[in-house]
Amino acid sequence: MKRREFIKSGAMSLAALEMGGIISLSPNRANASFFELREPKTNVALNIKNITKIPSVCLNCSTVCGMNVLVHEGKVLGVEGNPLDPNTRGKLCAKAHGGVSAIDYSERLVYPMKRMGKRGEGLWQRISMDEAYELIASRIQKSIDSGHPERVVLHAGRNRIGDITGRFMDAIGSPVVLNHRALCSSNKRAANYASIGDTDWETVDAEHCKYFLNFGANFFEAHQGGFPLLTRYAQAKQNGAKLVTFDVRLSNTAGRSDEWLSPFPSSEGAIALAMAHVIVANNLHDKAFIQTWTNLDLAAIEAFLKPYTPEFAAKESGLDAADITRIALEFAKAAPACAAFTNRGSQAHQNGFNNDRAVVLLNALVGSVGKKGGYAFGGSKSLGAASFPMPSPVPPKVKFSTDLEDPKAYPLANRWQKMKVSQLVFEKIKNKTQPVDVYLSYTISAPQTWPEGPTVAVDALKDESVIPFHAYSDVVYSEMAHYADLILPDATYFERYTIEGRNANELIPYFVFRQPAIRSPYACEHFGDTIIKIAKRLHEPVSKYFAFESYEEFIKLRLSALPEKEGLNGFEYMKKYGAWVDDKPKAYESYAKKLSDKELENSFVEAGIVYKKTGDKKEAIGLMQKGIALKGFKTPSRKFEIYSSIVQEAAQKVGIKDDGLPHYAMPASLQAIKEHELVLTTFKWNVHTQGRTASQEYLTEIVHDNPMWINTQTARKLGIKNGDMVELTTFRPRSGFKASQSGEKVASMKVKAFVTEGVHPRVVCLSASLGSHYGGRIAQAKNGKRAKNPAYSPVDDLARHGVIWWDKKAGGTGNGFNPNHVIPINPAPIVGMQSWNDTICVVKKA
Amino acid sequence: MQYRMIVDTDKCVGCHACEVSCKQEFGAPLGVFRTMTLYLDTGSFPKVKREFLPIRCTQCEEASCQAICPQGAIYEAHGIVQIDEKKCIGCGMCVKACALGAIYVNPRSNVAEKCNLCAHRLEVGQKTACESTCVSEAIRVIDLSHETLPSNAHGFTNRESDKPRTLYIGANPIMREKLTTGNAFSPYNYEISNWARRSV
Repeated sequence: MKRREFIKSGAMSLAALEMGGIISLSPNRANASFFELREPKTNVALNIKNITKIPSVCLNCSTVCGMNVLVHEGKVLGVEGNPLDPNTRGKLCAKAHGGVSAIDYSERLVYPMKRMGKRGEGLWQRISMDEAYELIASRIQKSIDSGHPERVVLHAGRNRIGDITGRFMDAIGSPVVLNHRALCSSNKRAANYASIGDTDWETVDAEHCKYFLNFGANFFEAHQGGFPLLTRYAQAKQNGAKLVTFDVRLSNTAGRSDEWLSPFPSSEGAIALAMAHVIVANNLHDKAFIQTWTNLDLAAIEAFLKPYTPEFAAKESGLDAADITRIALEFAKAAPACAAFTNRGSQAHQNGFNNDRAVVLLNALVGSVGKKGGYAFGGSKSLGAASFPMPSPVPPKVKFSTDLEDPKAYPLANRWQKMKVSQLVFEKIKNKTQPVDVYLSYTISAPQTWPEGPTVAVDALKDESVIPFHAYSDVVYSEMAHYADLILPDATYFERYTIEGRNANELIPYFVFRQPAIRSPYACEHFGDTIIKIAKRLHEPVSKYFAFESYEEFIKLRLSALPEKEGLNGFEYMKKYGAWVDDKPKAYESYAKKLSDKELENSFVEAGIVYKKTGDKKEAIGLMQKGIALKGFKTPSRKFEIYSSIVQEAAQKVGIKDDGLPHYAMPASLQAIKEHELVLTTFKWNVHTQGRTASQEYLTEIVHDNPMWINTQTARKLGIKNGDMVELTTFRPRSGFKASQSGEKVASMKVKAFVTEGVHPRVVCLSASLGSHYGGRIAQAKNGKRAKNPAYSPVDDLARHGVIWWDKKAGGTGNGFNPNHVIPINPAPIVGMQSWNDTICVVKKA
Repeated sequence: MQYRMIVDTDKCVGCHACEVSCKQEFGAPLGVFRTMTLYLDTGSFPKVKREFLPIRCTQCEEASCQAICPQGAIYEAHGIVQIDEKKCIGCGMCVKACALGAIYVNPRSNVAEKCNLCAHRLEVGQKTACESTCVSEAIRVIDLSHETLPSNAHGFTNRESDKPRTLYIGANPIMREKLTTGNAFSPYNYEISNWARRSV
């Protein structure tokens, strides 16, 4: 087409354009296919009468709430809750709505790229997906052929497609699947596993709960499953329930609790044990539950609790013994409709495992475990092969492990669930303790979100001699992308399938279904599909495990065992409704269930435990109580374990003397804190998750700056006023990884102070999620022209952003601070949980 | 139909879902808000509490914005004060007249915008964007032809003479210090250093 003719036809279209629509023309391209007409601005309000609702599942955080995606003419305009999700029942948080902007973010990665120049220089060349598959497949094939498949590493953040990535890694024969669980909640999960066994995460039966005893959970703003817990707590509160929160900082949860108590960090275990002491001393414990269902008799419990008095807890925590006593009594009197639960505040310490075990113990002592309104568990649907069979042939599980994903120094990290200790991996890779050929990273940005991420993780990632090849999949150019060799443009969670679910808040098994609401734009491809395509290029036997063409087909196969409902097969039913609830009663007191005749086939009893014979193996399935075979708990004793043989043996393996009881001891660093020192802790916001939301404009508009919280009195002593820049210096812990007794410095950073009454005088708090160097203009709080990047689409929607009013150059407060510059890698003993909230520091005016 | 919105601040959990769902509903630009959830910290350590106020246009009777509009673009129907976009010339007089700061001129379209109780949703029998997303059911729109107003809900005003139709339960009067007559809601209310301070 000649230029003149093009402009003539173009002029007609120009006239027909409505206000707000913009054409971008490339003057040297007379070809009509480069003619980009951006649609006139449309929104939900303008299309409410004829909007299509596609049931799916949000993934802006790990709570995976059911949502209906509101689509009009192939464009996602917004979201609303899916009322059929039995957990959230149609409600959504701010992040769900904010996540919509990820689809059209002008700095979204939409083309694959290959690195030019040195790693970390940020020079890229656009390539085709075919070339990308070939580059990755050839590297992986080489490792397989060399007899070292374990040199292929997959490192995922919020990986909800473990079904396909796990299959891939099993197929190629590599056990090295890394994750982020030890940076999240492994102490808490281990505490539930050690005590209850059946579950890693309790379901507070909130709707019926009368007393919420919260140690360090911020379920108003974060907390896995926090949102459905919140909606039920709101109802419980209307019915007179009380919420007591122990937190070093006035989170929104603490700020709206009936009582907020601010303990010295890591003393939660002392407080919980003191409460236990008070409950037993006042005869408010549930004798029947203790006798029938715990593995310690009352005398032994009393002996254990003897030293943990309210006065002791007061000394450790700085709180009033009278308050600790009173709250304990209130809690016990509300039993069984009461629940004591935890999260980061109590578990993210070197003593966090026992802190959490002590809190869970409170529920056992008052008999609220598994009860209506209490500390319930079970009734959740497994999303694994048991419910949704994996298409055969299924690759055999890899029979060996390596230190990267299975560090023997932390024997409980993978004891029940593969939680791993991934905050150690970059140090190990850097030190060449184990060779790596190929590093595949998926939805993870370790330089941003890992402790010492900007230093240690970056050191490893930028070194080609330790990571020869790094392929990255994500939606935005993050700190991790910057150190990759190949970038794959991932689909957003609006563009793909997943079988999803979390704890069933109704204690009835359910699952929800993520499905594409729109097609992926440009060259974006769901990483699950990419993995399948790569697998098909690998030699047998790998490729034979990937007979399906797409992740969609894989999911269809997985859902094929579901019974028909309303004349629809499982896949069709889920596409229509998005949620499935089993027809089962609520899972209260599952431990007290009688084993059925069928369950008892091929069983025998040994020392009171009921075993099932499978081949020449035996599997514990229950215990005898008063001559009847009951299910019991999934622990060695089949009871709620106060004494844990698993813990005692694990501790012994690593040379720690432990009697298996949840004793309390303050971590060495905090024990030895000097007068002028403070404790640095970290936290999350209700509008942000760790690493994913900073580029989502409606969320970052609300929270973009994250000055360090410091108590008013403490600030005054240091001559610090609100808004002052201060120098924050942190030190290595006194025990554990890189322990130093001489106060070896980790790092210093300059940060702004937020002087507040809402924090403990010995604590300073710096949130996660902000202070990005990458992620586009929204994440960086930078107005101006979009940076050039071959992975970006041709459309830059400047008008949509409007002014980034929080840009420092526009007089705003900027894009915040990343505390991971100064938070030391600090895995807690035996389990390996990152002790986020244990960092000793000093603060002075900058 | 006579619609009334009731916001129960005791139930509000400060999650900002109402703001973000509202922004997404209208594809609103950055820096301007039909609704904002204000935070207020009061007390001294360790007795500190936090309160939230989701503030938006309160659909006043004899609305000052309606009175001042030179184009007659602002009118009331079913208890909702609405702006006729076709008549609005973006002069901004309504912004100056409002004592809450609930109205702003969209910098892209040059049209005044404010909460209109999602009239487009009420029209088709759907709940407002904010009510439908609110996890703690702090927001309720009722129809006076079927329901009565709760006795503990009162007007929240920044000017004595205003007569709001939208009522609040438990709104802390100190929150007024975050509002400026004649200026649209300030985004600086979100800055954490303003959570305890009174005025922006």
